[in-house]
Parts: sequence; structure tokens; C-alpha cells
Amino acid sequence: MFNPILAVNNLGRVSINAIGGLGHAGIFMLRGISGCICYPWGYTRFSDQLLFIGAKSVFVVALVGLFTGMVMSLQLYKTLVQFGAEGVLGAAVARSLILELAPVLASLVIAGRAGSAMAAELGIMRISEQIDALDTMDISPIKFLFTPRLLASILSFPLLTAIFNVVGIFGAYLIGVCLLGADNGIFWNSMISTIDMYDIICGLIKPLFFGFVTAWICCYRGYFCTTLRGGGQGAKAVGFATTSAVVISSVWILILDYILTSFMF
Amino acid sequence: MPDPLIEFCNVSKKFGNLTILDNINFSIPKGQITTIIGKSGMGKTVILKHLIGLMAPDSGHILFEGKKLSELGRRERSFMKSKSGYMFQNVALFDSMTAFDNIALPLREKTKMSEFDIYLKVMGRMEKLEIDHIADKYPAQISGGMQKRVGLARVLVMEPEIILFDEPTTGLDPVRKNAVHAMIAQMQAELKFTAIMVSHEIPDIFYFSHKVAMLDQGHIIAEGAPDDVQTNNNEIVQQFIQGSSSLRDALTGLSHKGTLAHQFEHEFDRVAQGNPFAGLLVFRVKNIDKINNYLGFSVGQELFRRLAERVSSAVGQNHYNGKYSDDIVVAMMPGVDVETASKVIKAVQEDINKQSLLLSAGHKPLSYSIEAGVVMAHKGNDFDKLITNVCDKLDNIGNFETN
Repeated sequence: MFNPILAVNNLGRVSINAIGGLGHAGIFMLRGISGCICYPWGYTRFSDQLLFIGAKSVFVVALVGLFTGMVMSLQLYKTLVQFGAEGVLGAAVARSLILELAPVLASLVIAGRAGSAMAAELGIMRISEQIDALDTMDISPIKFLFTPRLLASILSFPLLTAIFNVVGIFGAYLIGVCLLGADNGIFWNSMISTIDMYDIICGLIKPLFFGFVTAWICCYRGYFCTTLRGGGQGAKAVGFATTSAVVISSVWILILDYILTSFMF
Repeated sequence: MPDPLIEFCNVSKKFGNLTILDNINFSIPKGQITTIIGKSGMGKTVILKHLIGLMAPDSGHILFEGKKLSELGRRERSFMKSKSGYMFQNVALFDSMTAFDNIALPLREKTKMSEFDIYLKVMGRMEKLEIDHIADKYPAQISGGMQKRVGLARVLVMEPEIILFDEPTTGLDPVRKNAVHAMIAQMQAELKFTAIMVSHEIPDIFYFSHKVAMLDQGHIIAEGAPDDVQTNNNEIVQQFIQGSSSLRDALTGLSHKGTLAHQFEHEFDRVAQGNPFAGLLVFRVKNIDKINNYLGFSVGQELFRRLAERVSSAVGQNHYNGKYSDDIVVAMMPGVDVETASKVIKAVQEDINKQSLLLSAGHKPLSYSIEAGVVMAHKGNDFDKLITNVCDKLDNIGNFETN
């Protein structure tokens, strides 16, 4: 039987937990940001993370970008040609890629690859007391572990998105022009006339936010893996933190994409 | 006793419904080694984690140099941490860094030393702990003993004033265990830091600790100098200490003092008529404490065991011998007079002078000597009194040196 008092009680408990959790994560994020402005800077750790999150993701991002551009070109050409509008193929592919597909798909790929690694690495450090060891040495674990990952993600996500754009458009060109026979000049001209600098900047601002959110969620989940609700302890906690970090950051990438798009356009 | 550096005042801690610390009160003196003993799962590590700030008490407070830890500001707390070092039970080395980088990390992060100076300092520490050859190895590539030493080097490299050791010898073989204990005692004597150690290594910890506290069921049930704790009448304390002593005697293969006393009484009861008597032979190893401290308990045990073997073969069958204390072997020869007993002592003397008891300890030489004496025992004599009396007039039967 429905008990209104119990329902209100549960709602209150869930709300308090949610707000508490958000506050906890918010403090974690603020301490990570404050780590950027406190000595020592930790250039080496930042460059290591830039290498791992950025440089080592280039291949997989480029691969996804290439096939995304190719399949889009294939599908769009077959649809547009029915209306005699194959001339806008370049514009359609470029607009879709630059504004939506590249930021979202590149971010999802990096979240799957680097985000899971961040959560797992920090989770293992937590369960093996390495994080406590940093704390006992008076080294801020958040600044030591989270800050370089946060900065490297903010920088890497837009750069990888740019690579996704270029490779995706090249893939579309290969299929549309070289394979299906669309006009080369019209393909590029339609693209240039439709895309302006504002579109490109907006397309690169989005992944900046995605990178921020991905690093925040993945590092937070890994860092506090042993205290997560339903996470358990030990290896199980690390597994749960890793999976949930990727799922939550992927969902937030899609939610943020909608919010940012509604503000930008 | 020096001034207390840290004081626990009515500190309580619970995990869910489980009370780990229940209103505990005890102090840690400055510049000494304090060891916390107790059964597993009694909350010894929890005490250490409270000290370093990884946990906070549910009630009560911890005083550091007279100030409440909970009231220290961020800077004061940071200052306190910078003066402290913590050696974790599982060492907690950074597994993605080499041994060198692990030790260098606090220097790189907390000082402005040049990379060259860091190199010199880290390598100096590594050489001292004999781990300089594994500088470029990762923790997974080195043994548990090496990992412990890397952990110790990481703690010592910042020259902290307070070091917390959480079971530093768990999982080590006896030789490595003695080496780690000797290292801690030696470093403490040299650097004068305050050491707080959690350990199960009885009796080793009694040799180098200045203070021992025993934790049981959330309470400190014994606290004080090692001798005071060893002679504490509390049943749980004695059970804990005896638990280790039984094993120790099993290692030497000798009877306990209690068994010896029982045999002494039983022997006279067996003889119904006449005036039964027995020769009691007492052998004492002088300087065994030094051997235990500097060469390790296992070396001292080996020396003791070998002496008992020689005594046993000299007194022959149908006689008893056993361990009266950490440095005394007693042999009982029923029906044997002083003259015959003295001949047995002479035989032992010749035997041990022919072949040294400790052939090679593999360390720096330490001198020790063996003393012996004999006393006649009759029915009704007090066993302990006889031994105490003869101990005052023992004769030297050999001076030796470990090599």
C-alpha cells in the first residue's frame, strides 16, 4: 500500500544524498582546479598525461573519424542524388561532422579509452594505499593525480576533435568524390560557403567541456572507488568504478552536447 | 622518561557497530621507539592512521606537542605531516615508478633540491640499505624484503622527526626480519627520531623498544618499559607473550623453565628412601643480549641451541637439561656428586674451546663468553633459589668472538 510519508522520506533521503554527492564531487573538482595555480606545477606529469590521453588516442580517433566520414558520405550521397542535390554533399558532411559528430564521437572514444584508464589507475592506487601514501608525505593526491589529467583532457579533447574533423572530411571526400563520382570543385566549394569560423570554434569549444567532465567524473570515480554506493571493496570496487565512470561520462557528454548546442545555435 | 610527544586522551573509534578503540589513553615519548602490540584486528593500525591524519577519532582527542590534532590549522597540519613519515604494512610503493623514483618523490615534490643533489641523497640512502643495485627496478620486479627496504628508504629520505611503522617485518624471512629491526634500531639511535611501531614480533621488539603498549579489545591493557610489560601479571598479556615464547623454545628444542622445575621436584619424589641428591649444572652465555640486538635474535637462538647440544651430549642420557632463561641452560644430573658434575663441565669446556659455538655469523665480530657452575640439590630445596645462588659464583670456561 502506498505510504505517502515513506515516499516523502525516501525522496528526501535520495535528494540529500544527491546534493551531498554533488557537493563532494564539486569540492574534488575545485581542489583539482586550484592545483593548477599552486607550486610545484608538475610539468612532467602533465606531459605524461598529454601523451597518454592525447597522442596515444590519435590513431583510434582518426580511425573512427575516417569511417564516420566515409559512411556519412555514402548514405548522404545516395539520398541527395534522388533529389538532384548531390552538390551539397560536402557541406552536409562537414556541417554534421564539425558541429555534432566529431565532438561527440571523438569524446566518447576518448572517454572509453583514456577515461576508463584514469578510473582504473586511480582506483588501484586507492586500494593499494598509494593515495594514502601521498597524503602521508604531505603531497596533495588530488593535485598530484587529478590536476594533470584534467588539464591534459581539456587540451587533448579539442585537438583530437580537430583531427577527427580533418580525417572525417577526407573519408567523405574519398567515398563521395573518388568512389561515387561527385564533383570535386562543388564538394569543396559547398563546404567552404556553408561552414564559417563560428561553426568551427563552437565545434571545438564543445569537446573542451566534454574533456573537463570526462576527466572529472573518471578521476572522481576512481579516486573514491572504495566509498562509491554499491561499489564494494578491492578489485570489485575498481571494476565498478571503471565501468560506471565510462557510462556516466558518456551520458554526460550527450546531455552536455544538447545543452551547449541549444545555447550556441 | 622523556616528555610525551603525542598523547591519546579518551580516544574512541567505531566502524559501524564495531568498537575498535574504546576510550584509550596512552602517550608516546619523544625520541624513542614505542611499539604497539596486540592480536590481529585489534586496531593497532587504526591508532597509526589517527596519528598521521588518515582517520579522525569519534570522540576524545589526540595531543601533538600539547596541541589538539583536531584543532590544528591546515598549515600546522601540513607542517606536522612534513615532519612525519609512515611506512605502510604493504609498503604502498608507487608501482608505476622505479625504486629510485619512489624514494626521490618526496624530495622532488617537497623540496627545491637540484636533481643532482636528489640523486646523491637517494643513492646514499639506497647504499646504506644495500638496495642501490635495484634503483631502476619497478616494485613488481623486486622481492618483498627489498620492497620493505625501499619503503624504509622513502620514509627516511626526508629525515622525519616522527616515523610510524606498520608491521615493517610482516612476510619477511627471519634473516631479513632481523636486518629490518636492526636497521630501524640503528637509524633511530643515529637520527634520534620518534618511532611508533606496530608489530607482532615477540620477543624481538622487547630488545629495541623503549616503550611497549598492548592493545586488546579496544583498550590499552599494558603500557611501559619492555621489562614491565614482560612481567605484567595480566593474563592476556602473558598469553600473548607466552604464545611466542612457546614457539621460541620449540625452535631451540629445549624444555621450559616450568618443565625443569617440575622435573626437579618429580625426580626427588621418585626416590622413596634415603637422602636423594642431584648435581645441578648451570651454563650462562654472557653478552647474548648484544648478540640478539646486533646480529639478530635468530643468531642468539642458534648460539644458545648449540651450547645446549654440547651440554646435552656431555651429561649423557637419563639426565635432563633445559632453558632456564634467555641466557641460562640448566642440566640436572640425579645421583651425581660435585666432583663428577665438575668433570662434565670440564668436558663441555674442552668441547666448546675445540670448536667454536658460532662459526660464522656473517657480521661484525662480537665477543661473548660462557660461564658455568655446579650446585648440589637435595629434596625440599627451592629450585629458583639454587639457580640464583649458583649464578653469583659462576666460573668462566671460555671467551669467544663471532666471526
